[in-house]
Amino acid sequence: MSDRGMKKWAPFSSLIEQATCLEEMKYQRNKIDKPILTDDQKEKINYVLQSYKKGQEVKIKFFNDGYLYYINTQIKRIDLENRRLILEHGKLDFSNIIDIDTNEFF
Amino acid sequence: MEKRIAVIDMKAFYAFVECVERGLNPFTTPLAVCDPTRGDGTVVMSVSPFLKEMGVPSVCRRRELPNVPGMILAQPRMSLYIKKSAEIINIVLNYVGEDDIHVYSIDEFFVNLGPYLKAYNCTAYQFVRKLQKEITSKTGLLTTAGLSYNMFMAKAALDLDGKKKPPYIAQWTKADVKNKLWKVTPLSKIWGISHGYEARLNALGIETVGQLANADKNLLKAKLGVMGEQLWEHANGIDNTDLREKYIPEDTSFSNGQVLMRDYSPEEAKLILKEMNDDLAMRLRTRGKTTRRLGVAVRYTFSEGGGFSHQVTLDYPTDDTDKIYEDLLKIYEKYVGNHKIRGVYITYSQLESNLYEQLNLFEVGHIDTTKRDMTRAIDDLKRKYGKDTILRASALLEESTAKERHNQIGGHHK
Repeated sequence: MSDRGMKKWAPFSSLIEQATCLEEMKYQRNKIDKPILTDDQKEKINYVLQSYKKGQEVKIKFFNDGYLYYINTQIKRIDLENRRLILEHGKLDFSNIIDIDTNEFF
Repeated sequence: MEKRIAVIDMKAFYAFVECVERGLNPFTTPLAVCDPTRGDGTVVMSVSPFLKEMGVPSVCRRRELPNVPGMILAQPRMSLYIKKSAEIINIVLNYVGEDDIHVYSIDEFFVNLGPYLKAYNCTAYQFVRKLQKEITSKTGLLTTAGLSYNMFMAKAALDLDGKKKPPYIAQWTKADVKNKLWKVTPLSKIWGISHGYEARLNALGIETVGQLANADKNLLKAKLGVMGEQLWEHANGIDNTDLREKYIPEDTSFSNGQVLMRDYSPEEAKLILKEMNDDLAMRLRTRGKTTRRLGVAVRYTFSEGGGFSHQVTLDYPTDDTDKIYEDLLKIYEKYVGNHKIRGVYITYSQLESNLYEQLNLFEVGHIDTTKRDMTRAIDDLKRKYGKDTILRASALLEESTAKERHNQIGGHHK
């Protein structure tokens, strides 16, 4: 069957603004609440940060604006005063950290 | 499992929104969405059901509107309609997953109901009624619906039946292919048959959908190509489209054009070229593309008629606004002559990904990262705060149209 499938129902996307608006709406509605960490999870993050050695790669799972992200990076500094990590490219508040793993092969 | 597909359409969408915003009843109010600040040849984008009942066509010119006391000409508010449209989709998304909605236009979308009927313990008809009622109670807008066993039949049920009168829903079964669909004439009443195809089918002696359905499929294919086969299948109520399959057309070109409000001299029109290029180059970068082929088309003043259209291929693909403008200008200056100008159009084609760049032996340093970072920062600002955030000073000139056009969506008032 040589059905053209969804091709024939492709919208006339003459309104680029409509597509953008729909994307934004979906982005908003798919947001999640920030996960609440258990004491064990907090303990683990604390442990990894305390035993962190300069130059180590870490994989951080963090929360931002309703979504979870992963980043592989190095920690340049732990800024206790402002309660945040200083990473290679940018800063991350402690409160947004969901999980951290180090590469233990060194 | 048999498929259950609904298509839902907003009745007289723009006009309805304008009535609801004003607290007026669309069935008793003569309202037309049509920019009152423009001339009498301005297009009427939508009319209230009240006007429609008086015989006003849905799409016409302002001068064709009847002289009705209390007529309201509503200035289009495209961004409001887009917002309302998203609001409606948002309501439906409370009941079905994103994959089971296909947004077809600003006022029309398909829903794949099949997978949900068991969970909600209702029939497809009841489901659609519920959606329709909820949309009306939350937005004040009226929907019309078609319901059937595939996308084409749902659309046919909507266009030929559901749209017309209360209760604004029609359900078509397989039996309705013969009972209803086959009776339809002229052929162009059917979705997917243009006046052009209608004429070609008429020439083959086919006047009704029934005749089309019983025509020789191979003959149609030979005469009309892949479309002939598709039309034959539709006429027989066959459409195997899977709504969940996403068809994402790849960008093959970008274009931008405008008809000017007065005649421009060739010198003045350069500014128009530049401003359109600023916007289009940003769109190109937003989509992560570069272009290798540029085109300029110019339309001369109406009394003179004619114009030109020329393209060039570049040595290497680019997304640099200034580089592109330089080349567009070369084409423009070569052909423009001494005509008065009424329309300017530009296109970028032969698109490539901007993820890699071809090094160039002869133009050392043509990859200017400082400039690229600056462009990126400007693009980000414009995306976040609007295109008017950073403008060329020339946007203040009388001949500039940049600000005016940034206040439009699809050529209509925002």
